[in-house]
Amino acid sequence: MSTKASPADSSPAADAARRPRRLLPLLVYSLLALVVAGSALGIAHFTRRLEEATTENNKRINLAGRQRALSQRMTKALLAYERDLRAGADPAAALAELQKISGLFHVVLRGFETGGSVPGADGKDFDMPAAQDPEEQRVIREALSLWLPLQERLSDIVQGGAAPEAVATTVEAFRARNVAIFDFMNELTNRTEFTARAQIAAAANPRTALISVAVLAVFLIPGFHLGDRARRARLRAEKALHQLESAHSALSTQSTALAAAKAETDRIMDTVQEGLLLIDSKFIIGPSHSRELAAIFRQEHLAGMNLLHLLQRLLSEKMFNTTRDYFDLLFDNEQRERSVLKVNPLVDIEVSFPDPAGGFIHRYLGFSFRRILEEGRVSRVFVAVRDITAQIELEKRLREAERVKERQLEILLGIMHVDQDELVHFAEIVEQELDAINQSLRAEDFAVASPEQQEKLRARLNQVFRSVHNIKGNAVYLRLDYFQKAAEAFETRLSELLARPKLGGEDFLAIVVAQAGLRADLGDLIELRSKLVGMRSAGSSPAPADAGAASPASSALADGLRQLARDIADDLGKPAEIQLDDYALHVVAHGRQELVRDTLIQLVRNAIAHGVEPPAERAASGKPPVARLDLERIRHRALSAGLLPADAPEPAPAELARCIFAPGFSTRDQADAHSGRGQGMDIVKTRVVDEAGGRIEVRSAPGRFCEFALYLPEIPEPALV
Amino acid sequence: MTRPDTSRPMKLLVVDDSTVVRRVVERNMKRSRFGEIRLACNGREALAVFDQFQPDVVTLDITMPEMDGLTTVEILRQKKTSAIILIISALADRSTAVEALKRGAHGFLLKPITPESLHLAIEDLLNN
Repeated sequence: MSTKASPADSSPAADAARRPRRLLPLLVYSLLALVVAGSALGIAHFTRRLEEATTENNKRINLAGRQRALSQRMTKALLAYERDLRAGADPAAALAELQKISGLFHVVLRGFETGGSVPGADGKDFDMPAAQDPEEQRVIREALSLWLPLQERLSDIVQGGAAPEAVATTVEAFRARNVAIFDFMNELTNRTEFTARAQIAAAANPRTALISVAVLAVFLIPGFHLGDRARRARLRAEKALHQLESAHSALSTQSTALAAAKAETDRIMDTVQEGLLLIDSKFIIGPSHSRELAAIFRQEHLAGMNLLHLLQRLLSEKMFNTTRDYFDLLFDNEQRERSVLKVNPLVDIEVSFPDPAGGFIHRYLGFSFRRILEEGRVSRVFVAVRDITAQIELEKRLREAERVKERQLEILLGIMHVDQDELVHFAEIVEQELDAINQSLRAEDFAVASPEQQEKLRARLNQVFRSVHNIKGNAVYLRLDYFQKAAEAFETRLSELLARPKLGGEDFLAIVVAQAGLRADLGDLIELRSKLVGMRSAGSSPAPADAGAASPASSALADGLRQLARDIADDLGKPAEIQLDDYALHVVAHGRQELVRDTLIQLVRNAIAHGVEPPAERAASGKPPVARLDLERIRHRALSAGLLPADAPEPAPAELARCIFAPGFSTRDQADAHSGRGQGMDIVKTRVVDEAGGRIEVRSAPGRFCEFALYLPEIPEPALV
Repeated sequence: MTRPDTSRPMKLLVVDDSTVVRRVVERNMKRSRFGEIRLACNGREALAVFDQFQPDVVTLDITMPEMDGLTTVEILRQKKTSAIILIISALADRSTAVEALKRGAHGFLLKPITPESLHLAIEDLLNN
């Protein structure tokens, strides 16, 4: 079907084509009019001719008929004259009759022959035409040949000079020829009738023909006119029909296209994986939106609803307020669209749908907006919304995987330089401490946070702190930076909790989480270590055995402590050196090695962190050039922590020394990586005194040294390695 | 709103409490179309020079001492100025940007800024 409209009706070509069609009827009309006029003239002519012929012929027929009768009357008058003559009666009347009739007969007969004026039957003279018909002429000629001799004889009689014998002869002659003359006159009559009919017919036939033509023409004109009008009407109707068809075809093409477009739109709206909608300046959702929208909003019949109200139920109050402001910006004609679109707050927004099964379903939705302008003003806004939960979660997982990868890489890099046995040992310590933390965090103790429980909870927290601190100490010792940082973060959390006036069950959730994090790190450590061992054994030869007499474990501990001292000294900018008696470490009983090691780690850390600064630095910071163990500071802290009775007079140094073993006791205001947590000396005391049943002696000379002597009871099987 | 004539050298007022940001904006914008640039450390300082300086463009931090950016925008808008105001802020909170536009800023640029992002943001506003 063509989409084109009918050919242009006003084109010059169409005009040219139409002109002959208008001329043709005109021509036909003119011709027909001429025919009618001609026919009328012809008819008039022939009618006149017909009338003339009829009158003339009627007169001739009458005259011919009269001649027939005259011939008989003439014979009768002759016989009457003869009778009168013979009877001796006066023959004048008969003679007059004879004279009159014979004269008339002769004139008329001669009229038939040559033409001329003859007395008519009606008394008027008739201008008789000469006979044209050859048959008439023959009859007239033969009749004359009979008549003329008789007429000669009669003229003698009529003139009155004839003898009776002559009359008798004439009578005889008449008797002999009377019938023949009668017959000729009869024949003439018949012939004139025949001729007349022929003449009338000759005039009447063309007239009839002309009448037929005229009638035909007269009928043809309206017929043609009507026909022409009908034809034109038909053409117009056809044209109109054609136009109608074109228009219909164009319309149906259009409507097909529209229907196709609509179907296409519907299909898109049905299948597109985005919520597509239009909102007006009142934020009302337009009548058509994609099917997905209902799925995204978990609600049907969204058309006609207010999008802002719809979002109100899903967003936090703050986000809703921002969204309302943003919708206002979208419809604010003063605002540039690009600027407004750039600050779209709904790019990835968390929404909460009420879950029919209870609670909420959390999803992430991503909105994008486009203005629709009408006459330069924002009439509506096109909104596309997608459920991007999967994408966001994937991103989260990716970030998490990235973080795990980084952590593992950090752990891996951290453990590469560490001796395998040390690493195994570290893993064991971390595991033990995590188990200890788990023990401390048993849920039932935290279920009720009654006032009586507070002290118990704090004690538990301090236990956890000791475990974490020990992990940190070992991590620093082995330069496992990752674990050091993790433990520090853990300690920071614990410090925050301990600083709270009141502890609740929920406060320990963070600790449980941190503990789980450390355990995950430990898992990674163990896994990575085994991989590393695999790599090393597959690669180069095993590490060469230590040449010295000391056991690998003890020499490793010595090396580790030296390294620890160097690291802490570097960190704190304090030149320090550790002097170790390797042999002394070597002879530590096998079952005590761990204890000695944990204790020494803490003591080394404390010694350097709290030890003496270089004089130059002390002088620079306005401190007295000679350092001293600040007993006053210890006393002050001990008092404020309630470790000493407030009214105690000048406590002895030994008494103050005990304070430094209290959990959480520190002379530092701010904790750093190496000191200030108040845990190190607590660990030393717990391990040596509480766990191993040993004792600690502290001796110090203020400004010179501080000596810690640890005494451990013997264990049944001292093993020299 | 009538936009400034962009053919002549233009005037820029940089308002930020960070010396680094002020310097970065100044250094990068000096090379572009701005013939004259003035710096202010907070909203109060900015308002003090605004009427006399009559800048074409103002870049404005949000978090500043004495007078913050959002308050400053509001006061500038009340002056019925034709100056274009670009907020440059580290506040990634989405409501901040919406709030800034609502109060009358023309654009919002999130820190950290690069010479390109700054240039694009200002050109985008000027060419509209």
